[in-house]
Amino acid sequence: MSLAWLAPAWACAVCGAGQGNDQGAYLEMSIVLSLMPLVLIGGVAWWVRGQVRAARAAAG
Amino acid sequence: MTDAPPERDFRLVHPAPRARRPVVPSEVIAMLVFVFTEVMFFGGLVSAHTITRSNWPMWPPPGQPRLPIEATAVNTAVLLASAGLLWLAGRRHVEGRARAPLLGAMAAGGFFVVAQGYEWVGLVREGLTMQSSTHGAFFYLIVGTHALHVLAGLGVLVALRARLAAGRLSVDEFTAGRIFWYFVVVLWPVLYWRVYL
Repeated sequence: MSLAWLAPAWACAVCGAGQGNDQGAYLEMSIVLSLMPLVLIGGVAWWVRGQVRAARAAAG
Repeated sequence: MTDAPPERDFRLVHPAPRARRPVVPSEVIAMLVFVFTEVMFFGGLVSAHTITRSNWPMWPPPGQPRLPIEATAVNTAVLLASAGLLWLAGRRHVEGRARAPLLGAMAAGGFFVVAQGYEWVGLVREGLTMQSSTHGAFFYLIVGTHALHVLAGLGVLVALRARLAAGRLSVDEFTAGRIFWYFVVVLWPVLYWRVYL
């Protein structure tokens, strides 16, 4: 059924890319997407560290 | 007659382990992992939009309807208010006074979805559709995906409300549900900035 609804995927960054103006955007987004998981994991690690410290302090 | 060894009460030697509460509850860990995947998913969408947009000398492209920036700013404020109400519900949960702020958060979230639907009807009437242009395709893809998440978040809030009414809502469950709604709310201003402005 989904084949019957096939249509051009206009929301595609790659199809129209590489024309020159988007080099900066590529670099910017590569940096953002590379750093994002590190920031997320680092943020949770920092939060868990605080939780562990608080639990230890409460336990005496 | 042989002397039998005295019976030993091993409970005195090995006392029953104390029930320990995990530092980070499983519900919260599971929700955080799920939200991380969602953040990367939306990161991909915003990345594609940013790269495509950079190829155009002006955005939206000429001949495309103007997005309702002001009305959506008000709608954004309503969604942010819902997060504030949910935060208040979390603070009051232990005292048993979470019902009113939780209902308020649900009402604000519902208003956001209805207002967006109204906005979409107007845009479609003006000619902005998924196939009218790259602008339209990205707009409905990104904003629509977020709207689906808001609907899912509303479902979570309804489930939390039902468990609260039944007196079976634990603090950890409430925290996990709230994390998802906070994600949906905090994500929206970023999408508004990238898609509308």
